[in-house]
Amino acid sequence: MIGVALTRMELQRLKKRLKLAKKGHKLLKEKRDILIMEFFNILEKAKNLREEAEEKINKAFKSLILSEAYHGTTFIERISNEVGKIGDINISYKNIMGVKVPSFKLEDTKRNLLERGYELYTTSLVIDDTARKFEESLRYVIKLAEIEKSLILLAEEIQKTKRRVNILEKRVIPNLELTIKFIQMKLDEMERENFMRLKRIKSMLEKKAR
Amino acid sequence: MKIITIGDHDFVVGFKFGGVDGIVIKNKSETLNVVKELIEKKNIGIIIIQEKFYNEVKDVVDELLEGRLYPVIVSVPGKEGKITKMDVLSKLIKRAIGVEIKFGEEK
Repeated sequence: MIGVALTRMELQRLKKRLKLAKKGHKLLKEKRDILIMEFFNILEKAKNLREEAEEKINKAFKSLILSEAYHGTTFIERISNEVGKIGDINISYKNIMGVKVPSFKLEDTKRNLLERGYELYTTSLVIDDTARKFEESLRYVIKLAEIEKSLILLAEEIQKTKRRVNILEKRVIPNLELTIKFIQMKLDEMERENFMRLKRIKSMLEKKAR
Repeated sequence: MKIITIGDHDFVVGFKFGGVDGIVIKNKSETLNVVKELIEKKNIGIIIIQEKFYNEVKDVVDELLEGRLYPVIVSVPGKEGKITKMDVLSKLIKRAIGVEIKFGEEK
């Protein structure tokens, strides 16, 4: 409040600012609520997806252990190096309430026997099963990565928005209101002073004239 | 953008069958170094990390990745099975909403 000009212009400026701050506060609050709603929507999905993905991975590793039991660890390791690599993923971005979240695109991770790239003469069905299960898990893991990253980004944005709402609510708006009140009162006071001064001069002039 | 896995020997071998390359790690300091290196490389889209290693370096890595869109790090259990229960998500909720909600306890 120190250093404010006690003028009508300043008062008007502050009133405008207060109006803007209130409008911003309302909008940010709405944004925060929608973000939280969106967050819980995605959270539900993420929870289910994680459970599914973990189950798939669990099965895949069981199958891997089985393959290792059949063929020996060294052999499996050699075969694993022969498996062809999947292509690169493309990242595009979706927009949720102004938050940029990633979305991954990958050609299907499922491949047929010949596309996998290991030799078929010495390998067996168990290895095929392992490969198939890991390809499937991979698909889930990619989806999981996408959805969990979205959650993290949303949480960050919610935090930021919450902080802004709080600053407006607890500091900016009360401060502005107080300053406006102060200037208003000071201006009223000055007006009364002026009025009294005029009255006094008038009565002095009257006395002199008589 | 590439996908890469980091974890113990079996973890990496397993995901090689899925068609993804990996780096074998053994201990905490190694994990950190590898993750930092991968973050600095610009062509990594997703890092799949074994849960037991991720738990050790979670705080540092989360800090490194904050505010960045990629690489995305995702932790999945290895053959030893699941260790933590929904820990990641509850922490997120606490950060976003300010209230802690726990999952999977009512079972």
